[in-house]
Amino acid sequence: MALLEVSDLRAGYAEVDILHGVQLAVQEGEIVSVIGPNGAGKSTLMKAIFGLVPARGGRIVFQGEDITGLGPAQIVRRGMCYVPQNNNVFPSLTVEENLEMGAFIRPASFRQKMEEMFELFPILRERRHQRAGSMSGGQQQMVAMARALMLDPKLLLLDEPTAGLSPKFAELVLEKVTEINRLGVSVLMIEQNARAALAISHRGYVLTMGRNRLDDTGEALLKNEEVGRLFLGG
Amino acid sequence: MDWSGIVGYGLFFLTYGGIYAISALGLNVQWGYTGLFNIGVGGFFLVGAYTSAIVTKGPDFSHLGGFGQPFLMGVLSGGAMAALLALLIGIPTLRLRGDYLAIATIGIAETLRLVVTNEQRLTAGVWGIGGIPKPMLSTFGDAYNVFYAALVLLAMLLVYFAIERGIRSPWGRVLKAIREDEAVAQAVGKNVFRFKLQALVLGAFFMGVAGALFAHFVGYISPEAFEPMNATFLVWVMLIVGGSGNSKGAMLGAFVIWAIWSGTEFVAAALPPSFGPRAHALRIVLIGLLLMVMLLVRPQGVLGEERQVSKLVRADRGQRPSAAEG
Amino acid sequence: MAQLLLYGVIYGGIISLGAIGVTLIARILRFSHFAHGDMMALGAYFALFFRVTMGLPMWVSAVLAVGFTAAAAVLIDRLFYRPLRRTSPAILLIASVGVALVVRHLIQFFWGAAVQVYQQGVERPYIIWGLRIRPVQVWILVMAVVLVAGVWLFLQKTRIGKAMRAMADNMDLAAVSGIDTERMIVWTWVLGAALAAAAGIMLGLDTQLRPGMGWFMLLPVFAAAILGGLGNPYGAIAGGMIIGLSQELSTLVFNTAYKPAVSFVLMVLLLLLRPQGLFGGKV
Repeated sequence: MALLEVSDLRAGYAEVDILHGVQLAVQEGEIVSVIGPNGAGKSTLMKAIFGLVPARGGRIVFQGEDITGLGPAQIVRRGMCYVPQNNNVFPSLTVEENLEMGAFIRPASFRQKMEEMFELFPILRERRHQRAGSMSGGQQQMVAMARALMLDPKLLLLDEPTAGLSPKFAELVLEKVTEINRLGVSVLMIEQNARAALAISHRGYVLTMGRNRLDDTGEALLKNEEVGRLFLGG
Repeated sequence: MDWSGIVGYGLFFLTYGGIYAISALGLNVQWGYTGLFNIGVGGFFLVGAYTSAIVTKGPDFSHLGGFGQPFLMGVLSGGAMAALLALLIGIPTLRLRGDYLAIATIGIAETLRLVVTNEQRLTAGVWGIGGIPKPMLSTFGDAYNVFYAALVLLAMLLVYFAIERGIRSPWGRVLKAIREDEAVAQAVGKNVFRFKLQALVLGAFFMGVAGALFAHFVGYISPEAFEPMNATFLVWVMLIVGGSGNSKGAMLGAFVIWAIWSGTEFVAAALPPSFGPRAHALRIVLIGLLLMVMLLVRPQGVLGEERQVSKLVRADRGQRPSAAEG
Repeated sequence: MAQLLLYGVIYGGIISLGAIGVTLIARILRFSHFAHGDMMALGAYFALFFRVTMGLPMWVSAVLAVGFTAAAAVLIDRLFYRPLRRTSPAILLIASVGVALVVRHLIQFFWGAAVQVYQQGVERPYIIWGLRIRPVQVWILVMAVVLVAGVWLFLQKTRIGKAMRAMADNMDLAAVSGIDTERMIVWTWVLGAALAAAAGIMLGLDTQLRPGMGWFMLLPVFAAAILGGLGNPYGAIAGGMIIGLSQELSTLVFNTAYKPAVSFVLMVLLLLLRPQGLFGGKV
């Protein structure tokens, strides 16, 4: 049984549908990337899975439970956490306080989880009392991911984790994603930087115009000519 | 039955109702059509009243005056002063969030009351200005109240038709578009600020006219008469209840709420005098609760908004979300 | 002049307490709460009830009044604001104007329109360093400092306080982190109303109680919040002090009757020059 199984998902905003029946699955222990052109619906897909955007059709099953229609507050309690693309930290709060907010619904585990996060992201330990808003983009991304990991999720949703980052930081972030995965967290990731994302992914989905176009292992997609032409130019 | 008493009261009711209706029509242009938060209606009303009084009275050592202008001149200057005030307050605040305009208009209304209360050389302060000329008093003599009620209702209809013409014009459509979705209106290239300012100023003009009509009707004004409850809040309740975004709604709301307000006054008057201020307070609580209920149950008011918004705007909104996609 | 500064600080403290509430409600509940002044009045009048009608000591009355006002605010939210949360901030603002109207006149209905005081008699002021200060004003200063410090501690050190700051920073992210936003909204009302009640009681202690006292405070309180940057609780404190001091100092030049106009003028100036406030907040 897959950790996450999305079938025939329909979702959108106002009168317009963005997703027209998308399938996706994440097996336990995997890193899965979703790539595709702008406007393909990748962000909407992630938001729909996490309950930020209502699903208009289809099913989302997580750990065997149908979570279609649940909101973020409930999904977070079931072991899925989400890192938005923008505005993903609390700028006026310190790094430590950001993590504390991540652990808000499980305050007893805060101290210990924070230590674990500092192990994983040593740079955060150095800057634990620094206001998150005053940190660089890459450092903020670390804070954002650490915040999401405070609840020990089984599945981590990452929306364009390398967006706006320098190549050095982008590489660092993706390294961290791999490390997080090795610790047992499954990852579903949207990325513009398709090549880098696929390089660390077990499997990938190509989404265009709100529908599945292609899916295969990360390696296979990297070698795929069509994919290469369309998305891996950069 | 005391018919003359009833008729007399009916005329009084119509006159006041009409004056409030004009104010409500003005507020409708600002809030109902353009979405501007004017919680200082009383300020514009006050300026209209005082200006007209000062302009039309003969010389009086207790306040600025001596211009002795005719009634029509007074009313128009009242409107013009209110419009000027709106221009001054609109320029700094209209580019910002609506809430800021709201608090600014409260400020301006309060400041005006302070000025009027304290600058005695201008306005005779708390003693007020009396002996405000009633136009054509000698002509109509006993039937004066009939004349004045007709005058006010005529003015109300003039304002109504002027607004209806305006709102159905391209200018009016832009106002509606701005209220619906400012970002879209801006994107289409409309100078949003200028339109908002025009709406604010126009609405204020009507409020000033209403104030002037009020001053000439009662003959005596003082700062107390422009207490926010009467001059501002009642008008808002009238508009919300009647239907914001609908000129007929503004007028309907004015008469309905005025009827409730006056009606409760009768009930209150029947109570023992010691109840005085408490009864007054309870009447206001009633009006306030009416507003709350309306907002919760039918925020568009009894008549609801006029069906006016361009289809273009609606279709636009359907397209927009795709830009939010990543 | 120094005397005016002292009065300015006292008055500024009172305004600050009101402004903190307004600013937090603006940021977390996303609307301008125009009934805030009347919450201050409500607190003052509840205290009047406990002090004068029930004969309890002042500090007990104050504590009870704060509690009752907080409860009233939560109740009002449940009845009037929560059903309207999905609508626009504009509707919420109008609703708060309606609530202000109702609260103000319920106060007038129950307590009458006449001016009231907590205790009769005039106090003899202390003379410290040549400045006159009445005993009650000493209390007000002390309490204002204590409360502001308390708010700071609450926001900085407690879990709920941090969550409030988090929500003020980024409401969506707070929801995404699993923070129960409805519960936090209740806490925001409790904090905002409690501070407003305290401010109202202080105002009543310093001067007197009238049913219109709340609406009268609305302008300076909002001006202070806007000055400090709407949504910034620490800015609100600074804004409150600036407004308080300016109002008192303005009497050197202007007729004292125009004191309320000072906050209005300052606010308009600020909106012209720096709409995000002195210390930054949402425009």
